[in-house]
Amino acid sequence: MNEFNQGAPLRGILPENPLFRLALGVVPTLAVATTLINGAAIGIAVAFTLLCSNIVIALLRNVLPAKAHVLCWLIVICAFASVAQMLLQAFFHDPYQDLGIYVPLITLNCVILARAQMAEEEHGVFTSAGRSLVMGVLFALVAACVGALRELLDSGTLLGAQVFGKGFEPMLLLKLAPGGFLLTGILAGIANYFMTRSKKNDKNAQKGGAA
Amino acid sequence: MVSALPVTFQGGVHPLQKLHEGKLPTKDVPVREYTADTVCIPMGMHLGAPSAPCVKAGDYVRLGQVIGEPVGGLGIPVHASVSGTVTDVGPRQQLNGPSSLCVTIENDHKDTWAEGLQALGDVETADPALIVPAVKAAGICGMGGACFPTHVKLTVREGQYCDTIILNGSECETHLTADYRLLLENPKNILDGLRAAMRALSVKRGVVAIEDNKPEAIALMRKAAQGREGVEVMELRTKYPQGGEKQLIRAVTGREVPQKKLPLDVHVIVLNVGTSAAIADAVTTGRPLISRITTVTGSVKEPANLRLRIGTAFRDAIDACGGYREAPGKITAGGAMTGLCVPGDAVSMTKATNGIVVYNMEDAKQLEESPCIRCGRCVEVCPAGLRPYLMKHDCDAGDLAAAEAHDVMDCIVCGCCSYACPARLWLTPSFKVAKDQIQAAKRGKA
Amino acid sequence: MELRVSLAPHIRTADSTRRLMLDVLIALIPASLAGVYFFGPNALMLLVLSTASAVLAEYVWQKLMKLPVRVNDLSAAVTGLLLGLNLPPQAPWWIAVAGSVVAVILVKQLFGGIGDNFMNPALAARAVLLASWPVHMTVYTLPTMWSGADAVTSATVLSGHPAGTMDLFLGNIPGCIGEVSKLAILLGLAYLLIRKTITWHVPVIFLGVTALLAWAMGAQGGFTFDGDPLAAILSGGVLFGAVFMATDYSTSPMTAKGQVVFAIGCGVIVSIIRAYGKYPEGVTYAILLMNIASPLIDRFMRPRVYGSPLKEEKA
Repeated sequence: MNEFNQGAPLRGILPENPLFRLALGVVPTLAVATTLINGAAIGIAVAFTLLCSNIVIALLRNVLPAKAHVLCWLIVICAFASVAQMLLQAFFHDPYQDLGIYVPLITLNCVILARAQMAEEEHGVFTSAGRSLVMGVLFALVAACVGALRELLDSGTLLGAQVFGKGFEPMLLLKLAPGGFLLTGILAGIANYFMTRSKKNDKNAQKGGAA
Repeated sequence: MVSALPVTFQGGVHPLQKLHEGKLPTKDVPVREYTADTVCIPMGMHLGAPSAPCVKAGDYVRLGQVIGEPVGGLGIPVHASVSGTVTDVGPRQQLNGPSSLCVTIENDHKDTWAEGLQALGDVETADPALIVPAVKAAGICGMGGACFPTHVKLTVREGQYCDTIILNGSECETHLTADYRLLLENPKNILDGLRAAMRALSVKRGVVAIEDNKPEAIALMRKAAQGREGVEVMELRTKYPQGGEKQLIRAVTGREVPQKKLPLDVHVIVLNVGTSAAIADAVTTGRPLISRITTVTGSVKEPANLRLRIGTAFRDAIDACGGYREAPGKITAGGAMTGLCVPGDAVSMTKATNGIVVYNMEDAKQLEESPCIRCGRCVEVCPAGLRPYLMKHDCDAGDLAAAEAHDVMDCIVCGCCSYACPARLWLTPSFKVAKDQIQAAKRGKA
Repeated sequence: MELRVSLAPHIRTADSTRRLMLDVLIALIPASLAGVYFFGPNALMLLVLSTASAVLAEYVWQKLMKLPVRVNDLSAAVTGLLLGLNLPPQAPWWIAVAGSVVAVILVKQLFGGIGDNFMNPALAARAVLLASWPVHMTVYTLPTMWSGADAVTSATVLSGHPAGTMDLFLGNIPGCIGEVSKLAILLGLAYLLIRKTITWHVPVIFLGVTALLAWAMGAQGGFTFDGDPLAAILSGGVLFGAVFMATDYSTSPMTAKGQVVFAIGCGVIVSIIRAYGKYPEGVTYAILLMNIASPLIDRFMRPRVYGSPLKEEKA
């Protein structure tokens, strides 16, 4: 876990992409990111909860009791998840209906729990805030992308508008969880492929430089 | 006593079945003597430390004279296989390595026997206590290919006993007909050797096991065995590797040699029929092991079964068969399933060379590996009950511990799995290497 | 003189991977011809397209990933043809292409290529197709005897279409392209057994268990022991599945006794799905489920190592 604390926040884009590389937060993506809007909605809710809870936990890190710190995290996260839920219900009612039970489940989203641990270990509210913002935004982006892809392939629409012509037959499998698994897996595979390729290039460049 | 039930073992393959296991060219060719002008006798033909040469260049040696003294517990003497002058004592490239110590003798073709060779007399009346020392003195080692010192094999330690001696007359390997011709041409000698070994160890039962694709040999042996005490001839179902020690014991006695144990732990000793004939010679005439029957076949002009003096160069033996039919691609000592490739045709044949097989360029081509398709044929044919596909996976990953856990040490390196594999995976070579590495590591630790 | 030095054994059986796959293709010819005869030009188009796109997909993938191109071991062709034979005869062309791509790239290549797939690629692709485009995959038509004119939709035999035993056997019934003609499939089975490409265990036991349970479970689904075993094995895709799909090398157990367990499992699951499940046919899912169980079966059904202690000695 310590290596994640080092390096630029931008590592969250590919090397530490929470969904594709760290396999965190897979459940909400599979379950509800069925359209662009839904994916963006859950992503933003997660990002919001992540940012706020991280700031609070970072502020409280010296005060939290050692033996019960996980419990304290949960309380903080739960509070902000409830806030997120109420905000969604108020301002984005339609997506909120689709997301259903997965909004309260943000509390148990592993991305948030993992970041909470990191927040505690880091030294500085602004560092924690910065990192969690980046991670949250990237999670939201990825969830939105997956949602967009699924919407495109399983209904032929994007943001509700028909993209393909009449001859297009939507792939119904992607609407359901198995399709979500498949798509996420394929995207993760592609992401990993580019990661290992760039690592190989780096290694070769190093070798070339040394020789 | 005669047993007629064909018995067998698990797994196994039928290599070259449509071509009669490649034995057609030589199976009806009677054994012919061939003596070369020079022999180059390696000191390290047997399993154990190489013998120490006790002659030097310029010495005159007689046929059967000791030219190499035994070294260590598994040592046996090496004898001159011709009479003549020693021209060189030094390292040569041989079957067992690039610098194998050898004694080269220029043959004077007089075949003057050494003096002082002690015959013990007829096998039925010779003193049993003197038989095993005579076997050692004659330099006899396993002639079926392993070349393990026979006097050590015939030594029963405290707490062990032997109740059956099996003679391996199966010759399950492809291309080889040396043992088959010996069975046809000299059954008495084979049975004499068996009786000598039985008397030396007070063994009541001796079985000559022959595969059922050699009916004439079985009939001849049965006739010769009549009147010989405790000797029976057993017909076994033809399948490779029926001649494997463990498979033979299973088929003949129904017993299995437990893992990590030896045949003597199930009270059985297995000998090759050629070894048995050599024992008979040692006991009845006192003469040491100086020649053996070798099948020379494959891409040669006149395939034959030759009785060659130990140390004859491959090239000379091939010339005695009319020479190469075309430019050779590879030459093996032994058959197609377990034969060892030689680096050049100047190497000498040894006490264990039962065949010289020449492959032309086409047959020598190495097939490329392709990915395992999980067909399961390797498991189906393995006589040792192993799972070669798993062991290969471990070997490819360099994981020797996992290979050992998958029982690679029980692999008898018979080649059945590689033969049957549709993906042409190099299974057997991987296992041989893994076994050697595991054993070397164990010896390094101990 | 330069001699090659290689390690023993120096000879190999003539059965290479390519030869085995070629034998499977040959064994599939009767079923393909029968399907095309009964269902016309669209069926032929589907078969050709599925086979070709499977081979092309594998070629493109291996080239893209800089892997050795092994399309001439014919395994992709076999996968493609098997998928094609599992399609309804009037399916649109892109179903064949999509299915082949899913089979070869998703199920086979992404998991490691030949020998490493954990599910039968053709069958897994069929399951994906069924879930993605259920309408196209469940519209069956009456046989039209090559002319292809005016295909009339119909329920399959297992969904209630009446058919006599002779019709079931020869193939004059609605169904997937390859599964209708039982005679053609049996010819293929005979060829595979003679060539020793497969052993008898999986097909015979799979069909036997299906027949037995069909008889036992009866016509109504309770254990009334009055079912028709012959109709059970001649209906639907169980004969095709037992002969060509369940016998796939990499997804079935490695030992004969493992294959027996596998075949029994397939038979049981097929019978349960047919009797109690909401699908009329369960062969696809039965075989896929047992494919996933194969490694587990292999763990328990090992050959006995020569010289290892027998059970009595262990105790």
